[in-house]
Amino acid sequence: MRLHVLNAGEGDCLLLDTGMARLLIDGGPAGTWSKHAKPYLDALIGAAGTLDAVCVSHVDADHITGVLDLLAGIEADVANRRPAFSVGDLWYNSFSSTVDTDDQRIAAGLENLLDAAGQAMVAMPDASSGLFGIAEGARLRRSAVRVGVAVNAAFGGSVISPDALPDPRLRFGDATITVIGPTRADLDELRAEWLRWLEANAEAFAAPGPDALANSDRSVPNLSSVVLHVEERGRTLLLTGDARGDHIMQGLASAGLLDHSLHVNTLKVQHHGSDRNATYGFFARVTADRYVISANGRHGNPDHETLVWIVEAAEATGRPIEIVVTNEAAALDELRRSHPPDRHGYALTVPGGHGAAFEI
Amino acid sequence: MRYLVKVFTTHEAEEAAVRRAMSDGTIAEAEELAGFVQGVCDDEGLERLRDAGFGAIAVEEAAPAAGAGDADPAWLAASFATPATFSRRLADGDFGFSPMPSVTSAVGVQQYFLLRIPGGITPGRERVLADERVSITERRNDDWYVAKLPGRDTVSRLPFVAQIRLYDGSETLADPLEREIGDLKRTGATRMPGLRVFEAIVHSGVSEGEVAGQIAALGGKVLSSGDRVVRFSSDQADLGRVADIPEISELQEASAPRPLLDLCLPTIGIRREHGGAVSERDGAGELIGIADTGIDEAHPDFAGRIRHVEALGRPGDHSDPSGHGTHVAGIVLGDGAASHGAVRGVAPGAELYFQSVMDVNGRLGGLPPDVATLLRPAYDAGVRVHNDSWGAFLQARYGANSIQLDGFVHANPDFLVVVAAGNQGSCMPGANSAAGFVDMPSIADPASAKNCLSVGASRSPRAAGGYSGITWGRMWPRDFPDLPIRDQPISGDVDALAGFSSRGPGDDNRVKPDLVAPGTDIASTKSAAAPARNFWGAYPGNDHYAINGGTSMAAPLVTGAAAIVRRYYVDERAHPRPSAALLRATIVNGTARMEREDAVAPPHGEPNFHQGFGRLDLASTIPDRVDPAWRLFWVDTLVDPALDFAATGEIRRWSLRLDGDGDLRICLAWTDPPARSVQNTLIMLLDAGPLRPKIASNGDVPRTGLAFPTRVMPGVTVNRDPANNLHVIRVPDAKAGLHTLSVIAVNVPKPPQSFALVATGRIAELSLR
Repeated sequence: MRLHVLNAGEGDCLLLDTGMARLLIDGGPAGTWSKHAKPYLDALIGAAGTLDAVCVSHVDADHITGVLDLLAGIEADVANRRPAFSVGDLWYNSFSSTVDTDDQRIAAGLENLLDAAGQAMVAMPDASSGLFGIAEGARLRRSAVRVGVAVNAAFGGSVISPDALPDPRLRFGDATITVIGPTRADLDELRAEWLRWLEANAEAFAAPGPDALANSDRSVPNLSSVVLHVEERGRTLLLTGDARGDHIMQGLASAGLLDHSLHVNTLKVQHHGSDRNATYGFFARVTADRYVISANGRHGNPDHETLVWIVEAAEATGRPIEIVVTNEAAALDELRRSHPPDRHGYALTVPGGHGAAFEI
Repeated sequence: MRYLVKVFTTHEAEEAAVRRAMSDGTIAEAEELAGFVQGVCDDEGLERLRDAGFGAIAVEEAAPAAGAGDADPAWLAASFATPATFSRRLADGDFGFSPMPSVTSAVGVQQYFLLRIPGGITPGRERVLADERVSITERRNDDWYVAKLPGRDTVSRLPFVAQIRLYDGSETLADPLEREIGDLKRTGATRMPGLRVFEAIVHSGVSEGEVAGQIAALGGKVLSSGDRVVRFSSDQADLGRVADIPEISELQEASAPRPLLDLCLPTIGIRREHGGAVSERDGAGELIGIADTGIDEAHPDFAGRIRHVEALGRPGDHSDPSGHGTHVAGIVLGDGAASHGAVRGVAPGAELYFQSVMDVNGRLGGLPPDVATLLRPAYDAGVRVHNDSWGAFLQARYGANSIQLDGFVHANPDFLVVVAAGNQGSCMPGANSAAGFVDMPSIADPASAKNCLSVGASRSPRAAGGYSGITWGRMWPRDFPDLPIRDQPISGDVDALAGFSSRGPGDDNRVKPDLVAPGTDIASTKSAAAPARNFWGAYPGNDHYAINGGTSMAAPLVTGAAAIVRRYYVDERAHPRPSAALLRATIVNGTARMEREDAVAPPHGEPNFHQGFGRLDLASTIPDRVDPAWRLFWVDTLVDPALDFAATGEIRRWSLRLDGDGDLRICLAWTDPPARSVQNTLIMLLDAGPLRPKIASNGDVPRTGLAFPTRVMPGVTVNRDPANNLHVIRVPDAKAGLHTLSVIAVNVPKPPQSFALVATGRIAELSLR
């Protein structure tokens, strides 16, 4: 199977092609679709090509926006009688059905906060990006309905979670996909995080001055990502979205895939290589031949620390590895200086452009 | 049984007859006014008056029985359902009502009370109240008035005051906040968790600054204060004590305004006839105001017609990455330049005054904290019709935006504001609706204002594109889970309503929305900066346009129509300063009643809480060349202030001559003083001569014959909409000949009251008597 790593700026946009079926994972932030993903896919699968499934790992704007653009583009192409992509199934967990289950309190609180900030002319880009994804989740479902795409049909219409599915494995072309996350516990933890964050912001709001509001613009790490383990003829891929390392390991353990450690051929590194979502221990236990990081330096991603963990964990067991980062970033130069590739046994690939394909 | 009655007298012969009834004792304790006599009458007397041919008798109230033992009939029981508050026996001297909750005032002002005064504030009663130094600050609803009383009890001795009670928390609060604060008080907690923003509306005549000081002293963080409203965040506020501040009239949770998002010119009566005069009217000469996200001023459809753009939300930036504002502007006045006229707005000759209010976070933080600050610069620049496709969901309460909008229009009565009703329509929870029908109320703020036109959404005729082929239940499964609406397509049936369209009534039971216009799958101009994903769908073959839906898209159809109607008065009727009331009356007069099951769902009535007075229909609003016998007559006291009402009981009469049988429509509108409920009540009566049946405005009156405006009486139906400042008479089969049209000041506690009147049909003459 091949993994196409598309240039999604600070977000994610990946295409898995098993040879028999194609899965698009996320669509990147605003701009990704028209600038990179659409031309790349046009060239690869043709303007009337088929995506057997499209998975939104979670509803953050840097993952969901391109998928909204994809569906809007299909609608426009059909309306204009132009060749259009066809999508078999949309896989996603809506925020309201998984996290914000109590009368959408989180969305309402976030709206209040942003309204207050907006009246004070204080920009809160992370919080508004968070709300965008939450609010647009509902629009995503409507967009799918509009172009006749089923939602979660592969999962019998259920929420995508190992705790909600009778069998977390499904056949996809000739590959086997196992749903690793999010678990019910992950979702409950995220819900609690959000409520704590909103309460903390209520305090910031009460403090005088716009600085407190600006300082409080800190997105809650999204723990609701769909995590998928893909296996085809002995070759393996782990797709992690923005999940947290310890949650990924718990999920792998529950699925019987993590004994002491797990080796996959390709690991899509979680949350754009942020050091908030991983530890050295994670990379020591979950190892890969190739590490794919979708980032461009925005929000400090990838973190130098994360890259060092990956390099040193591989070095410790003498494994040669390749690190793929979609775009240049300050941390890459820092890594080249602190851990020169030729002396630390790794290759660093920065494809740039629209994206690049890797055989798994 | 004795009743407090109003006997309307629209002819001299009727005045003579009613005087006879007064002198022979049929009507006792009478106060004679120009338009009616108010007095007390028993069942027998009521029969005698009916037999004498009085066409309109209003039973206001069961008068106190002369002797004991009269049992209240069941139909009156509701009026006396709360004997705890029935408190004529007030202690003499200072107010020492022990059974009443005690309320303290930090600034030592007199307290507020609610008085029930059946029969309204007549000149005689007004004199008595003034002598007793009682100042009525506001009419609350029907017979209840808010009053500041002097520090001694004189009121309970007044014969016309039926009840008195303290203005307490049950008036200040409504659920769910009332419940929450009740819980707080019970548990002894002083603070609510989380970030909450509240707005307090202060009593008329109270200083907002002083109340803001009291709220701050109780731990609230004041965000803004002015124009009757104090906004504050809960922070450490002891909300229970804030709610007890006597100067606060209403307290409610604030909800931030948002765009009400989420072509069909023939449906609203444009281009009905090729070459007809209607289609030539394009609004040229009007400057239309729009407050919305932003505007793509490079769009070819606005070329040369954008006079001014204000950037209120993002300094120096009025662009439209959302697409909402540009779409709205195109519906109002896009000229279709980029589509050879295929996608055209309603008033493509008008100019645009645009106020961009989208903030840095993509929300509407550019809206100033008070509505007047938004509307004032537009008014000063020459805008007379303003579109506001935004609102806040406040459980249908009359919020801060509404009272401030009403205040601004009251102070600037030639300024029409058109407001989207809101997109909170849903079958859930279904508290007031049958399964598969949209629940109510859900009207947004400021669409609940009295002096605006609030516009709900009906379905467009679009058969392809956008959401048109998809059903309500597929698109919004949580909101529309049951038949029949579940399986109905979102567009196609122009006589049905949009499921999301917010329903009335307002919290004082006024019918809202005022009217509807198509609001699903509307094609209009697309901002180049807005991504396709922000719309319902693409417009085939032309990226300058896109398809969208929402009451946001319905309101601008009415705004464009209002511009055309305004130009009609200015250019064709030599009326250079038409009032907002006249424009409201004209547009509502022309609406087409929709008859599909969802548009006439219970509670039944004309108007109703779903479609208001009906769907915008410009073809039957102003005359065109197609039918010269169909004429429009108008009265606008803005240019004839001698006709304004100065007191309760006054009457204005016109001779109305029809030169043929047919449809006769009359609409009365007035710009009411700012307050939650209607302050002044006018009605229209239409008759064919003295002691002939009269048709009263609103309600189901034309079908019953005997007309009266307020209370329930056996065998007669209720007026559906006593709190509305819009009244219609619609007679589909009016007979040729001379009629008398009367407008009567039934109750005008807040004079002077201006008004406007429109009559259409085969009318040869409308002349003041």
